[in-house]
Amino acid sequence: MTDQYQVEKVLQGDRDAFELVIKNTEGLVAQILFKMINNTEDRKDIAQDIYFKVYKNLASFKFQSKLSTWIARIAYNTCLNFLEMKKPGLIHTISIEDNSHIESLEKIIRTSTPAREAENFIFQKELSKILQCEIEKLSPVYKTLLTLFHKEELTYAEISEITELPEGTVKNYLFRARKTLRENLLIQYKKEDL
Amino acid sequence: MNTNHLTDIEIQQYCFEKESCESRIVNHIELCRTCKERAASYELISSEIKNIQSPVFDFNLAGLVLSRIPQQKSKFSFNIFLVCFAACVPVAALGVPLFFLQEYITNVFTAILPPLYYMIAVLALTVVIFQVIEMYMHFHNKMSRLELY
Repeated sequence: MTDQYQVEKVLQGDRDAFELVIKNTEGLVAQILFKMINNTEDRKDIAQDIYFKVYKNLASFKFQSKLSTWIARIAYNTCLNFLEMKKPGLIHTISIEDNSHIESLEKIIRTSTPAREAENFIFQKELSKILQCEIEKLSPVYKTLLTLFHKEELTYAEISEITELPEGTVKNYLFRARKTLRENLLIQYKKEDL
Repeated sequence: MNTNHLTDIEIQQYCFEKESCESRIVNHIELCRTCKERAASYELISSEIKNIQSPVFDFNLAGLVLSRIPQQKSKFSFNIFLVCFAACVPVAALGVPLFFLQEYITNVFTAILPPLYYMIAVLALTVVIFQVIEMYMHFHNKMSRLELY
């Protein structure tokens, strides 16, 4: 069923068609919500709010993108507004990493054999668990971008459309997020090892 | 062994933007063990993110949303038919007796004095105005309750 057909059906008042839209897109919306909002009750309210907005504004959808991308954009903006309302400035906490720290760590990895061994070891030892933990520590925007790119396999253009960030910024944020994640994983391992 | 290693940006480019990656980077990674390991660690992170279980809502989102969306009248033509039928019934109910009793009814009205006519008309008009105001307020109240935002 094409997006156009689905939208037309919903606009004609077909509730089953809207239910199908929700079912088809709630996975992507959940990814964004779970990465950006921690409180379960808030997530429940925001999820409903997102689809009310979708329903209310569906007539203004111009088919310039996929329907799922448009809904994801509404989800992302709704989460951002919520975070801004709750804690102004929270979403802009993407800091530029301390490069000297990263460089020194890379130096250790490059030069010392134990560090290299540690690096190898960490990716074998309960990596998934540690990784999830470390992802949770990242900023909401980083978490969302990583999920959209690696989990949902969206393109830079699609992520750019959802987040309303330029493609270059998306790439840059993703680069920083992966780098931070990798470094944090190594630090985490070193802590556990001590 | 190559000692000039690639930067993190170049390694990530190799891992995640293969189609636009320079051949210099590809060649270096093929020859350099350190950079190959770093690239492998990024690829592993990527594959691990892919393997993380997708979150799901622990409630019926579609059900919740649909229960709060007002039901639209989709069978428009059927409704028009109903309205026409409902309008025709009282017209017929009034019209048929009027047709048969027109002489008697004319006599009844001509017997009433003109001032009484006006009084009845004003009274009827007042009742109608009040009814319309009441209907409008009722309708407005209902609409504001249905309003989602």
